[in-house]
Amino acid sequence: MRIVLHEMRKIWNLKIVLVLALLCAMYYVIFMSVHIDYFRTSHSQTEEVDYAAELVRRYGPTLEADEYAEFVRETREKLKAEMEAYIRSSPVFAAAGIHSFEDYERVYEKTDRTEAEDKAVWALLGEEAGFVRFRLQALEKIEASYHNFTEIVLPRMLEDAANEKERDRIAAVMETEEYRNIMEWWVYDNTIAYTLDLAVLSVLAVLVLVSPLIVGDRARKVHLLQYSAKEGRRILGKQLAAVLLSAFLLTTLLLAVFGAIYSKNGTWVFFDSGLTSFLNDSVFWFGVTYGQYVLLYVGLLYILCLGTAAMAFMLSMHSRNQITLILKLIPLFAALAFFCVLVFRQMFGLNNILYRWTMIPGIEPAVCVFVCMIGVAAALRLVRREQKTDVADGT
Amino acid sequence: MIIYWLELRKLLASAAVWGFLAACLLFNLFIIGNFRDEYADDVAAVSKVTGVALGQSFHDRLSRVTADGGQAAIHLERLRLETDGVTDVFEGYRTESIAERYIAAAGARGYFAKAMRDKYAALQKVVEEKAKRDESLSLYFAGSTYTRHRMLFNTLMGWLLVEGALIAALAALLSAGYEEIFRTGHIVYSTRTGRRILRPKLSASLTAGLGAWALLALLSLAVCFGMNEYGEVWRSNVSSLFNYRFDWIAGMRPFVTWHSFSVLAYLLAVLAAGTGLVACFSLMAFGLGIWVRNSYIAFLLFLAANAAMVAVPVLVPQTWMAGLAVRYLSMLTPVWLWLKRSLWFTDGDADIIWVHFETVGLCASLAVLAAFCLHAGICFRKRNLA
Repeated sequence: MRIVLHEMRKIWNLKIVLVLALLCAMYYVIFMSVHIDYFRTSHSQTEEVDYAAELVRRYGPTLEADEYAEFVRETREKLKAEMEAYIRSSPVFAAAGIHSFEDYERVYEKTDRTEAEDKAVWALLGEEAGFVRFRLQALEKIEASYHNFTEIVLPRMLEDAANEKERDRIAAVMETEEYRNIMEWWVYDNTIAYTLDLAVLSVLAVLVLVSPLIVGDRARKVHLLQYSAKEGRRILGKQLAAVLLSAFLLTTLLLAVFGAIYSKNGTWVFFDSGLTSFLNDSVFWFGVTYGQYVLLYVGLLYILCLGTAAMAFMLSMHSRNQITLILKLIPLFAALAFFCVLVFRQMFGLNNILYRWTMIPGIEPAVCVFVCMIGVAAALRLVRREQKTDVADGT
Repeated sequence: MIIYWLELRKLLASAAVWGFLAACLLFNLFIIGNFRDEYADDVAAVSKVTGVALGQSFHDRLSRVTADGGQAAIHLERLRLETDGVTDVFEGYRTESIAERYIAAAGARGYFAKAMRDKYAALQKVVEEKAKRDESLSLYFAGSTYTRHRMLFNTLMGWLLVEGALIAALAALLSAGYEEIFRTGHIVYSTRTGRRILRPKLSASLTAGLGAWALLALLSLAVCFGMNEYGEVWRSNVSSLFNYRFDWIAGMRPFVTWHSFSVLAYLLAVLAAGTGLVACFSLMAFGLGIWVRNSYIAFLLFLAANAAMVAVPVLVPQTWMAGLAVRYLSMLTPVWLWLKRSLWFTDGDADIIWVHFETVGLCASLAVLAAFCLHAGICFRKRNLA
């Protein structure tokens, strides 16, 4: 263990860690911050997410028919009363000939509005009125989704299903009313985009951190010295352990930092909500909840990062210097980034690219485990082969 | 000279370099293979008969073209519909409103607002010239123009530049760090040539980087033009009425270049600018390679420096005049020139206030980076390597 720790000390070289931190910060600013800074900043996205969160808080993770009717009736009445009060209190509306909510809606639908009418319409859409018309728009969207999902979306999905398995799954969703889950599409989409970017960053960070260990030793011919010590060639196994352990630690660190940043979005309210939802407009293979989805993602990310570390170890062993190592790492990173897109975009969904290619439901975790196993097994084989390699020629 | 050749041989002897080039080429073939457009091919084939100048003679010649039926006949009919009754898009086209929209969106003030207005005043004159010459009445790829133009000048050229920049940067780092990597520094630097070896090293790395970029571009473009028919379209004007550009501030508008470019001339101009850009990245990496002795960290710093260039305009508050200056100056850096590649030789967008921004940016970047390399070289002469 002492040697593993010493090897880890070599991996966590302060200069590399500092540059890596800088790279991560830049990556966050360029790619990931948009998912935090611009989440819930537009209308009616903000109102839709707020209503979905309110639904979960009031009724739990699913929305039954009576609960839906109660929520829509109450909210509509409340919004109507609020708008009526605002219309009565502001002279902008009287100037446009608007004296009630019905008048406002009539003007709202018009395409050729006068300047006064335009001003009145925008008054209820503005901050002063608490974006009340946007709130109504969000409520209308919930109503439309509630009806359209069972009457249009699911029947169309059933019609377009590629095979019997898909048809069975969609029929089961309709029969068990699994679509009653409350999972807002904006939340799901935002989480997917952020986690995909985080996965690519994790792969990049692992490659950057663990790759120089072996190539550095070999360029200085330190490995020949190590092989002649008491530990002998077993050192390589320990170096692999150090590489894997470092990858695990780095992934944990990245998940902790970027997970904490993401918690700012407050999406945890949907933790127990199933992903197959009338508000999410999608059907997933399993009755997985948002919380389970995130936990599964974390597990798969660990697996992927361990596989990445093992592959980096192999490339490092086969490189004569750091530049040739980078020349090999770039295509590996490109391939792994593409792999992340295949796995993490719409994971377990009917539209996941990997599923579309293979038509095997739930293929995503299996492929991740396979990639990790291939990487680790190949690295272990290299370590074993090294036990018998003739190093007398100095290579 | 002999040292230059030896240094160049060192770089070219690396199997990993050739492997990387092969991987890049394979990737480019994948991209090219995914951009098949049969309608564009048919337009290009027809252009051999009709020519590319739209007008009565074009229609007369087009009406004489026949198709055997099937897809070709549908494409021919589509081409007739698209080219029938077209008018010059530059006739009466005004550019002042674009300037005002960009100024409002960017919150530009003072000198920057004036520069933006001046740019679009200059563009107005160019537009009037183009209107006189009927430049927009040019076929290009008719209805497929936008996708094919973007495929070549944005997607493929974008990847080619990334690959060229990476390989040029790595060649420069390998050259600059070679003695450190192979522990030969103490022998090399104690010879008669000594630390002056940096000069042939720089020349060799520039040659290798630009050579690799040229090879990649040549092979990829050869495959691209082999797979996609261009016919007489090479002679079309890039400012064709079928070519347009889009941004969220000014919306959809014609593709206006400062000079009159045929498709072939525009491609050559973009390749020339691309060569300059690859040279910029090579110089940046070489300078960093001299400063930072560990090539691996030097490469990470190279990445971080370019990422920082992208992030800086996003991070600096635009409410300050200095913030605006940083934003507009950032657009002249190599990484932003790469990001704005689809706008080269045009008026640019809300982030660009200077005419010919790509030329100004390339000249400024080359000058600054050459000075950076020179300074690094001078410091290296006196550095204690013990």
